[in-house]
Amino acid sequence: MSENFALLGAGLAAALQPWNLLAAFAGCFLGTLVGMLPGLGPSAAIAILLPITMAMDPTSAIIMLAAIYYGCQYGDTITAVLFNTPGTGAAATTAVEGHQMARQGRAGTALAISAIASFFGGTVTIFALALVALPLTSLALRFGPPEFFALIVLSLVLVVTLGSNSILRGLIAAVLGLIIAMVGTDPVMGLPRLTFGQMHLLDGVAFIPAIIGLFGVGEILRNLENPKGSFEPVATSKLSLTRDDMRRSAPAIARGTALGFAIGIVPGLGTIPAAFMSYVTEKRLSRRREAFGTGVIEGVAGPESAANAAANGALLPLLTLGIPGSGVVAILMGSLMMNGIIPGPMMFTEHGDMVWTLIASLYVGNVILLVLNLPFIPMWVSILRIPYGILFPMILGFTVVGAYSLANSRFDIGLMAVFGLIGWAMRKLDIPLVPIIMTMVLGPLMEGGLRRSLEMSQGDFTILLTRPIAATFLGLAVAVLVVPPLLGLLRRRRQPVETGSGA
Amino acid sequence: MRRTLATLALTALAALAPAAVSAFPEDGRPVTIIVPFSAGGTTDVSARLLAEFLEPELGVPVVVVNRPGATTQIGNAELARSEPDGHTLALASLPSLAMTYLDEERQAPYDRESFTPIAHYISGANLLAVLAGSPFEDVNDLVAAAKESPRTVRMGTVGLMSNGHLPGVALEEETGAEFAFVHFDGAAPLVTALLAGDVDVAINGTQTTIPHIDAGAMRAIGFFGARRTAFLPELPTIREQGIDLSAPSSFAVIGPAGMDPAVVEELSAVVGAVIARDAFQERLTALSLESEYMDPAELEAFWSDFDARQARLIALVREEQ
Repeated sequence: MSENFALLGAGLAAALQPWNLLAAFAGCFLGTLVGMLPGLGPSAAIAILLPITMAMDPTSAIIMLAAIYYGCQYGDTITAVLFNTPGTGAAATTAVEGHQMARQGRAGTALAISAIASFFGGTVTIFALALVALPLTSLALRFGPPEFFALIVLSLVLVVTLGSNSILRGLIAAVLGLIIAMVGTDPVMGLPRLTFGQMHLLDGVAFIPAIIGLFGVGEILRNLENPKGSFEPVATSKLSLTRDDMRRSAPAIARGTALGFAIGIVPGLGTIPAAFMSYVTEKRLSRRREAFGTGVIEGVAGPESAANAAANGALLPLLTLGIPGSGVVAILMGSLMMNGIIPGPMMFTEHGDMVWTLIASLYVGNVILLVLNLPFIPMWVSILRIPYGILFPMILGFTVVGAYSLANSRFDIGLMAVFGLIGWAMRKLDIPLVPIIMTMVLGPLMEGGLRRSLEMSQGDFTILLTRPIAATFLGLAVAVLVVPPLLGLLRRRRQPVETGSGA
Repeated sequence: MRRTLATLALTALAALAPAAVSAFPEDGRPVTIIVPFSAGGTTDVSARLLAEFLEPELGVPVVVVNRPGATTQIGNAELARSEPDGHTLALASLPSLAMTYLDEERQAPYDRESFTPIAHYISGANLLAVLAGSPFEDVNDLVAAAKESPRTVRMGTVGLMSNGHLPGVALEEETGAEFAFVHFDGAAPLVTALLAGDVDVAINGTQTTIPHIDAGAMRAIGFFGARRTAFLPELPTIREQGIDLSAPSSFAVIGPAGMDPAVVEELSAVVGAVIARDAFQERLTALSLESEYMDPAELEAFWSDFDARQARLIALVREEQ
């Protein structure tokens, strides 16, 4: 443990060399710019910029890639808040409250709290990693298919019950997302399912074109209906974080960090459920639950810290087993491999210095992001001054590029357009967008988890109840569904007596 | 003077022209290699390495284009549609390509006849991995256990009907054993499941298994290749252990149907020359890959053999369902 700290210190020292700091600054800035383009997320940016970094010294290269990663995430938050156009699922949660804040002229505040929350979530969890990495190894391994399935069932129950102000509307959105998630090749027989003979749908609906369509294109279509624009004058574009803002945000950030780290450790879950679980937790605990959806600052602070904490938690399987826990970590690992470091459990003992430099560089990326972006926020916010007539075609152009560039596929542009119409219709009908995103992400994971569980037990469903972690999650899911209505029933039964005696 | 030079140049060009067997490659027009997987994977990396070495040989730019999706079906379909002039090629993963047109359920818009074999490039195979403390010492232990109590030995693969699943089906067919297959999405979750003991044995690639063997967490008990791999020289093949079976996987350079045989021969020879170079081999070894060159005729024969085997296995899986 103390050895880990020493190695982390050495890694930090390496990351703080002037040349490496320059790499971090450049990466952060480039990453933020790329991240602001809808659809071009961290994976795309790192993949595009990877050839440049190959000419650099390995340490600088990894630091730059990590900085690009963080820059991208923040760039994505910027467009999510300003234009309700997130390019990833995690930023979609931020967009819910953050964009409402922007509409009230508080875009600067939303961006500032995002930066601070991400920084906190990132910082605490980096040290948590160094502290508890080894003891948690066995925990990551305890998460087999049944546990995975049970955790996702619990998440989906929370999505529906807490994700929107109306359970019916939340359920409509969630089921729509599940139906969309079923498109593709079915995992039991390997047969096409709901693909309508379209080869491009055999892998399922591509997630990023769908999300850019639902949010970005849908938002533009909706705004076209009142072309005057609805943003408040941008006079309030400074970072006006009031004491009240901080008081509300602080506990949300602390909870988001803890929750995000815990979710991040489970290999394969990722940042989207982390952000969303934090959002529903804040909503659940809040005394002003009804205000959620109208621009509540803790609804930005919690998910942002959770997403970043989860991204770091996802490093744990990498550190202990050599298994990359997320797509981005996999790409970072690719750059290690080009330097002759093969990911695996021996990576730590054989190349510990390099690995801890990677971790330290993630941390430096975090710091640089805060230092670099806080002063830039007024500049980002001033983009809102561009008239809609110029801004919307630009955003639309970027969404088309973003949708196409993922798989060089024209089909994905059409897919994005269709989802734009769906997003527009959902806004008209007041159906929340985030549950769709959640079920589109979690649906295939849930199906896969269940299928693998049953393959392991040869069709015996009790495997879901005999493994303690899985059984606990399923029990909680049932409790969340059953307890509130029961309480309501009890209350109602008591009430007539009270009113009866009062009358 | 200037005029004489120009005339001289023209004469020289005219003299050269008959020497060129064909108009391939057209001057300045790039050769595109379609990779039906996303950037950064094994197929992509080996295509980029090949492109880098082909470029000076062909004298035109060689561009790698990623067209991922639908288990290579999207990239393959694009190749099948393209002009057979030698300027559009693809690096095919033979098991994946064959799977898409042999399994009729997938309704691929092409078949074997839509393509021209050019050169076999890379050969590899999966291995059988168990935990270090597993009771299975070799493939025969595994088969005996799966025969004694059928469908209880959990065999993890990288995906249903994948290149990791079909060798397992072949093992069942050859020995009469019955495994309980558990299909994961790729190597990372499969490795995790084996380490956690959620499966008893995994059919996995060498690249992702060797680090865990080095760490003492896993053992390999059999290699599906036709011969041993240089990366695990002590590991016997399945055939060496008395089970008549091999399931190698291949990357091959292919083109659309209807190519000029002269262009095919020329391209194949260039690929063969590149593969033979030491500088190239060095780079390939660093990627943990092994080359195996075949000319168009050899590849064609290999391919039809492969299809016959693969078709039988797919039919077996479909029957079980």
